[in-house]
Amino acid sequence: MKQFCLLTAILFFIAACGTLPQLQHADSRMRPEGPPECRRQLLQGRWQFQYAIEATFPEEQKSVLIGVSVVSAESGSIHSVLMTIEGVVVFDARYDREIQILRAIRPFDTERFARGLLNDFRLVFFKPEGALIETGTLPNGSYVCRYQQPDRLVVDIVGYSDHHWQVQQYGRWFTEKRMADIFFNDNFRFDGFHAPSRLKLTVSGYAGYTLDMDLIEAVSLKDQQ
Amino acid sequence: MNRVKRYQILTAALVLLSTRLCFAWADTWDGLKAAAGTISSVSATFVQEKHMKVLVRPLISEGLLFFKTPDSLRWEYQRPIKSILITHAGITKKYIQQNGKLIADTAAGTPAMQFVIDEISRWLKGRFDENPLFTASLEPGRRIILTPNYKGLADMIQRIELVLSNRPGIMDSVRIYESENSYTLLKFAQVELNRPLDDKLFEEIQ
Repeated sequence: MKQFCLLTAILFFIAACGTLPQLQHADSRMRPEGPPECRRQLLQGRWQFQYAIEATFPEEQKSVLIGVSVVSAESGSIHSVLMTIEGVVVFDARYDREIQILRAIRPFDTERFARGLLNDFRLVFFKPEGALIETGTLPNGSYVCRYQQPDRLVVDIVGYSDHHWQVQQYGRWFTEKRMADIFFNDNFRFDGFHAPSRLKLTVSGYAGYTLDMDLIEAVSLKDQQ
Repeated sequence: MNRVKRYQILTAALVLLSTRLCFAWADTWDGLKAAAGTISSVSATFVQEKHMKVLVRPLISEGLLFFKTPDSLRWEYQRPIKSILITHAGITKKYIQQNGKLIADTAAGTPAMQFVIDEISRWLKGRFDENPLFTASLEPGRRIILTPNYKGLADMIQRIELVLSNRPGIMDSVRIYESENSYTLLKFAQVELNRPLDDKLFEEIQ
């Protein structure tokens, strides 16, 4: 009986774990900067982004929010605020070498959510930490650049042909997958910066959620304090 | 005293008297209620500014406000996200734009939303001092300060400052402080009083 229970537990554990997508035409002889296909437009300077957000949480009603993020490429800092249409702040947190939660109301009141959201913005706007370990293509022809991150995380940057990038981050046992879809539209240029017109942040697994974010405005803060 | 001088003095006296009358309405709670008592409806536009220390520019929203006695209210955001809240005969509905369509939001029936609606209706009736959750004080410059009486509420709202217009019964602005570094400012304009408003405005989103 004991052996049966142990076997069942092992099977459940294995079933819960995923695997990385297999890359075709894989090349692991990487130069640090990688091939041109790995180079997407990254943030330069300091910017304030304002979004209209549709937030979907399990067992919660879909809610519509306004989001603001102040992101600095130089310092790597991110300050993110979510508020209701009426202006009530439900989430306010910043990352500047460490995470500081200034205000958080359910369902945004967990450190896990704050850490995840600020991490997602780093994935969207900055080059992934860690080394480029492999490039190749998916069966649908999309090009993938794979990075090995600290703490045994893996990040795949997938470039699609329709002004759409996808950043996928896999957890240590591939039990959690975070995905950031980044869409560009030629009409969304601010001070010469081609800002993502839409972001869709999807977290699978326990306490997963989706934030679908349409850009309202991007303001360059280069001349402002 | 020649005729011109007498005219000048009379004019000055009338100006002073009318100014006094305008200010007098906002001197006491009873004056505020009396001024509001003559109002059957309010129509206005509003601009909402969200100020936070982290924001270099405030976030701007714009909308429309309609109120009809006794308790009908339409609070409509037109930009950047369209959202309409209507309440009439005790029924409250809220709609928010999602994927280009106005979708009903069940949050309209929550106690939190009812609290907000009751508070706005109370202000529009000049009954600023009647909510036991707040201590109201009348300050110089036609200002009313509402301070929460309970810690739970104070964690959300530090204080509310209402500035009344020099036209009796009208509010110029509302400033809701979440903290010293974060507040929401509502500025009202194009205010019309006692314009006939159809009930449909408060029953349907149209």
